[in-house]
Amino acid sequence: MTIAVPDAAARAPTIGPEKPPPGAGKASSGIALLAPSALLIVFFFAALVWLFQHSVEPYAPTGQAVEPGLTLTHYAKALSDALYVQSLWVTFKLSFIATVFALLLGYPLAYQMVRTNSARVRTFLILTIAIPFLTNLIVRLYALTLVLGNTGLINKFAIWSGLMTENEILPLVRNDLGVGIGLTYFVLPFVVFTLATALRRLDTTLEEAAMSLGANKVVTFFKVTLPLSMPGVIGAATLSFILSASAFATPLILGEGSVAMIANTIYDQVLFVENIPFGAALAVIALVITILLLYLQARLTRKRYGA
Amino acid sequence: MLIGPIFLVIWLSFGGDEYTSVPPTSYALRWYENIFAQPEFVPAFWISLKIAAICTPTSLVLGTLAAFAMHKFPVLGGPALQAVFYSPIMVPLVVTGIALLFFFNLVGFTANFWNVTVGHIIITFPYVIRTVSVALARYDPALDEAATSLGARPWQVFTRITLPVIRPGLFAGALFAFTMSFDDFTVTIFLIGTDTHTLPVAIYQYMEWNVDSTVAAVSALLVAMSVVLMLVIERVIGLDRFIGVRG
Repeated sequence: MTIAVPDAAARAPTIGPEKPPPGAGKASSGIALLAPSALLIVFFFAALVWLFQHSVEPYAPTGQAVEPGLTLTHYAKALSDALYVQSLWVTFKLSFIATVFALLLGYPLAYQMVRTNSARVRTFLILTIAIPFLTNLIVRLYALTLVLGNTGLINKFAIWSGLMTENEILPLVRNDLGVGIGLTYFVLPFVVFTLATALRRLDTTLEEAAMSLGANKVVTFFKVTLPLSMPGVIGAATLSFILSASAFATPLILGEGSVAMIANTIYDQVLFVENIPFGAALAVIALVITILLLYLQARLTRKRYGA
Repeated sequence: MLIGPIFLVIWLSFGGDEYTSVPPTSYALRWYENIFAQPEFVPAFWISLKIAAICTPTSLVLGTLAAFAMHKFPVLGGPALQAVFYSPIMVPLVVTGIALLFFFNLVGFTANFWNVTVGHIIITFPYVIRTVSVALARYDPALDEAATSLGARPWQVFTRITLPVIRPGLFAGALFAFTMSFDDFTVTIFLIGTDTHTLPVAIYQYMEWNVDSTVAAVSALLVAMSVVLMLVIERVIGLDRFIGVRG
């Protein structure tokens, strides 16, 4: 859809908080428009507050009354018990690895997608990213188990080609490696889209200037393109890390119970162990880490790039 | 590499072996037949579709109204308030799932179907605010002035001018809401009861206990669905714009 856009300068005075757009009436009607979604947000925040309340309650086995009083023991346990520290560490490690690989694989893809002159190449790249992106995550993970599983494509191929004997197994599921591959596969489309958006906005005349001053393609890329796209890279990395760190289905299906990331530990505590306060405390920790990461990303982007 | 596993699933869904094997030793449509012979898949599909069919228009209306309010009344569109409204996007889904589970218990909501639906609306409507806000940011206020000076009432300006112009944003928002709701596993698994298994949950539970190719057949059908969805996107707003490769 195209609309006629008049001279930008003519519109400029109407932009900005001092001068509201024409037709801006009383804020009360604005509040009325906002009310239904505000109600949902209030509900959501109330749920988060209630979650926090649970996390400082003393634990009582199912059926017994909860003692009054507040306690921080669940937080202490989450951050000291080796089992849960391990779960946090695995979450951090795998999210970091998945983020690094997704950036390394995603950057060239996004770059090609934005810069290629061939419409055919662009369509092909978009399709290869969009089809997995629009396909159900459980379906994608199932597909990965068929590739990585003990009787999956890779193992069968290794035997068929003589790299392995019939009795050998290359273990690519039920371990950190499988979950790491799964996380990379899960976050890659998000990383490519974020990077593509950033690269599209990039002013190509700066690259042309560098080239005309004698820089070759490689130097131009590392000295001009990459630094200019850093806000996009930071954004993509943050998104990728947060998505990986809160992944639930990926470790569940590719880890098959052997790899417990933080989301799986929370689920088990709440639905199987039925230690609700402890599960709540783990969830609050996950939430706080997420907020910290988003804050860091905002700080980093604003400080370095003034965006 | 990204799309390879998906082709593999489609190929294997036509296998005739008792257990999924790579490559299949024979070919048949038996696993497609088995989808309908199993009790869980068809009802789960309808439940997922029903939830998405309620969630999508609700999120679309809520999100559009909110985006419009933020756009029209800059007081309401400040960064702090925006952060509050976008917060369901930022909060890890597992945290949202467990918080809603506890809170629904507290307030005594026991209808699992509606709990899942409300959960899906909460996680999807901020995406609508986002896509519609992007469309509104490009919206030319002169259009409003022109319509108003020609005697249009505010409501007429909104329905006749604003809505048609921001249609790509509305469409992208609706699409996000639909696919997120239809595909959600993490929030859903906390809120479902035994009677409200959605399709992703049914698929997961089946593959936990079975090693035949029924899930491959279901997957192939779902991939076909996403291909259709993609063609619709391409038709309506263009895939490259949807993804952000083009403005």
